[in-house]
Amino acid sequence: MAINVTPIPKLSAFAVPTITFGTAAAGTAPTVIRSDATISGAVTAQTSVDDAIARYNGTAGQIQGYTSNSPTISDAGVFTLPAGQIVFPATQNASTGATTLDDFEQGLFTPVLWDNDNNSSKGQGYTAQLGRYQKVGRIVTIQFTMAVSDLGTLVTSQYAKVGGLPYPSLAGTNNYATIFCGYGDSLALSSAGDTVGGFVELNASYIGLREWTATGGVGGFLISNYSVNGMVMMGATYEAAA
Amino acid sequence: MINERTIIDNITVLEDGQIQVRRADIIERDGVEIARNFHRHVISPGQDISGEDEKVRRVAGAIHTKTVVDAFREAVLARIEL
Repeated sequence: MAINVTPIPKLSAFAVPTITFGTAAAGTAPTVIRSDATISGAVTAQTSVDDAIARYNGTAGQIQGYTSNSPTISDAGVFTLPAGQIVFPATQNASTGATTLDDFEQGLFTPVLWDNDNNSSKGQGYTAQLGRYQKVGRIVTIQFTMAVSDLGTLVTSQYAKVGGLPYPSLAGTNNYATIFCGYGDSLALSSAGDTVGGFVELNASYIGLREWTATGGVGGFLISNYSVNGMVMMGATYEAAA
Repeated sequence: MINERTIIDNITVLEDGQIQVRRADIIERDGVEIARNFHRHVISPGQDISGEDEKVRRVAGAIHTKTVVDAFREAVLARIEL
């Protein structure tokens, strides 16, 4: 089929530009589309439903027909996934938009007991050491179990920290996120009835542990308070740097 | 055949030199990936990297210059200790 384009400028004294499809058989007129024509219903998929999203099948430009797995967008802008998933990039495409969701990831991390040196290689030993995380946007939710079998050369008079968090926390004055401790065993608390608390340090990937030792608030929770064979189950939700 | 392999599939360097490391534990059946689980940790400037993957050590070696390490330590010291 030949396509003949007649690029005539649209001036009042001239004809409207047209596109002519094919060569007319004797006695019939060729198909002509004028440049000022309105084309409706000319591009269709084999099957469709209201609000279906048009997408291509392969590289030949053919529009994919609707299936029950296909997503839809309503006239009100509601995006619906009847099946399938939303996959975020392997590397976060970070956004500063307050209403933009730019990341999701879930996985594991390995909690470690630190003193002031923030060092995982001081001979610490563990009988349980498992952490899980989920990151949605900049919000990171963690939960972990850590049971220590050997303090190695950790300095027992220094504050206990839990290192190894999956992401650094947000910087900025007073942006601390608190942790919760739901279970402990074989610890050496200062007195019965004290509870263990703490916070995610600013712009860092560790937790500073504290013990509610006074009527006024917390005191230090030291390596000696964690003690050999000490075990905790903890969790936290904090904001990551990105 | 089931095959398991581990790779460092993502290394992200933050502005202050902290390095986010993601390890992917991949399970394949007949060469086709059927599962991928992530494990993450963070390396701060000046932190011991002797146990890290070679690729991570190379990145840290390039990024964690004395200037970066000193600046990070100063920022840590400037924090209000609770």
